Amino acid sequence: MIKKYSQDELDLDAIASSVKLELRESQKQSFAKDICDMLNYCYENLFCESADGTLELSLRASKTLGELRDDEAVECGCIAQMLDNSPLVQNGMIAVPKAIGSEGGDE
Amino acid sequence: MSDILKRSISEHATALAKKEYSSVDLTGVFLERIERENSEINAYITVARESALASARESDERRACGEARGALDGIPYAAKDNIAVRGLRLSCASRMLENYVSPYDASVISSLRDAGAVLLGKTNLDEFAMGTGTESSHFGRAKNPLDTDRVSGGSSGGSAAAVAADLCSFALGSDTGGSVRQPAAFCGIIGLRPTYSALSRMGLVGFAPSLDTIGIISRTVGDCATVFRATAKRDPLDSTSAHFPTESLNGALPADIRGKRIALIREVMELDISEGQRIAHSRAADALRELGAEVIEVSVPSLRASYATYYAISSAEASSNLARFDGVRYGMRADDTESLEEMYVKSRSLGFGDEVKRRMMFGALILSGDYKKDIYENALRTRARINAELAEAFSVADLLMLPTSSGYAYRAGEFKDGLFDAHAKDDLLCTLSSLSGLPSISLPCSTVRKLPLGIQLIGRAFEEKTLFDVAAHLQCALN
Repeated sequence: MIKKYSQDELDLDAIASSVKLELRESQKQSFAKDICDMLNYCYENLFCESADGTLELSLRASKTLGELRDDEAVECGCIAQMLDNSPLVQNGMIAVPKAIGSEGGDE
Repeated sequence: MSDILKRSISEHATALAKKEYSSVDLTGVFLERIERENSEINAYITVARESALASARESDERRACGEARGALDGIPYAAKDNIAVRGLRLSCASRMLENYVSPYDASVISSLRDAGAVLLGKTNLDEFAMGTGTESSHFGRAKNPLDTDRVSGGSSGGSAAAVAADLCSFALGSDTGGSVRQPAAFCGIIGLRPTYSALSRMGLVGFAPSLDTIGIISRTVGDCATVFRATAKRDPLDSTSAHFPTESLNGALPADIRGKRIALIREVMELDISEGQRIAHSRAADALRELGAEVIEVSVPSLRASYATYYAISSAEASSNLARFDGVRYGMRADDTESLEEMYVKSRSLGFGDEVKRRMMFGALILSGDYKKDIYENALRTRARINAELAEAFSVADLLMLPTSSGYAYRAGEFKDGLFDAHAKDDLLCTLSSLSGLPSISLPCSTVRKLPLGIQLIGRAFEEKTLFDVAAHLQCALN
């Protein structure tokens, strides 16, 4: 089933802090709405629900998530991944996101 | 002299060679017009009057000695203010870099300097190139010269406005998700996003490095080809740049396009596109048939997902990329802070505008926890799938054709409460070539209420010549 994110789920202060920003109170409501809209737009357009209720990437009806090879993603995402793994990130010079709103995480 | 402002580069080159006017004359006429019009249009952030006149004098001296360097020698141009020029402010239209002066030239600026072109100044943009209307600029919006109540597009809105308002002969922009092609369409001119890696990105302030490309905005397709020929080259200072086979650009422009297979994308017509844009698209297809091209149809099923894919990847890259602006090495630094951490946070919070903050926060969020699995990683998979679908389309077609935007330029402030919707609607059609790295050119194809609509052609990697040939014929036919 396609998720619908709500503003209540977002800890804006934690997200802002992860990129070394602080928000004014007056910004928080509009930012929460905007980021929630972005999440929902991405989710709705990247996924579709199949007839049997399972979730698929909205690519081709026959192509399910499990059938997509991980290396397909790696091939085109290599630059972003390189940034994520750069020494600047590792030593904390670049504010790379921790697992916001969850304990631990895979970052 | 004011009638010379609308001339093409080749017309200027001929006139300069015949000594009808000098580069100093030409540069002076552009500078006078900038002085008169820029306060209204706001296309330029910085005007480099003295250095422009000095470059023009050097060009005239070379020509007098019989040492002119070619078609661009003495031709005045502008560069988007996220491209580094030694000794000039490099603001990215941000408060963060409001007073930052670049210590070096971007490689494309060096190439144009070597070709003898004369830089008039730096043009306005959305802050750090994030936007579709140049409305997020710290220096105020650039207005559309055709209707100043409307946006000039974005993020290279200043460059497009400068060309359309005759404030330069051509301009450089940058295109991450349509930022050269969409403003060119809104202003009724030509915008090229070259093959990713054909033009060096060294000296371009990065937004999303896997998508960023320096692009060219011009009045004619021929001008665009001339500038491209001077700037496309392998650059050892940019490890992602490639050797461009410039010999492929030789030969007459435009070459015969009879028998070329131009594909329309079936799924485009399922999108929210204005009636005027649909008619324009169909008119362009008819013109291609009359020119002897074969118009076919292909399917790109992932088109609908392309903007979500682009937005997720670009925001994720931006969140890491803009971390360098921390108050230490570049730009503004907040005063009265008691710790390094506080200085980082205050400098960034004061220096960046809301649009940049939103995108960095969204990018950070989707690189974390379950969001990363659900959105970022699936956006990468979708990008790979889009590339595969485009490869399939190019197995039967020489070029793809689709509208550049969903309609004509929108009114400034029209999407104040739904800016993301505006971006999604207007950028979606441009994101296919951005995600795939394929070259794309936008050209004007019709007008509605005197406002231009653009059509874009997407080609195979490094086959810019085919794009130029077809676009040049189409521009003639549609005008």
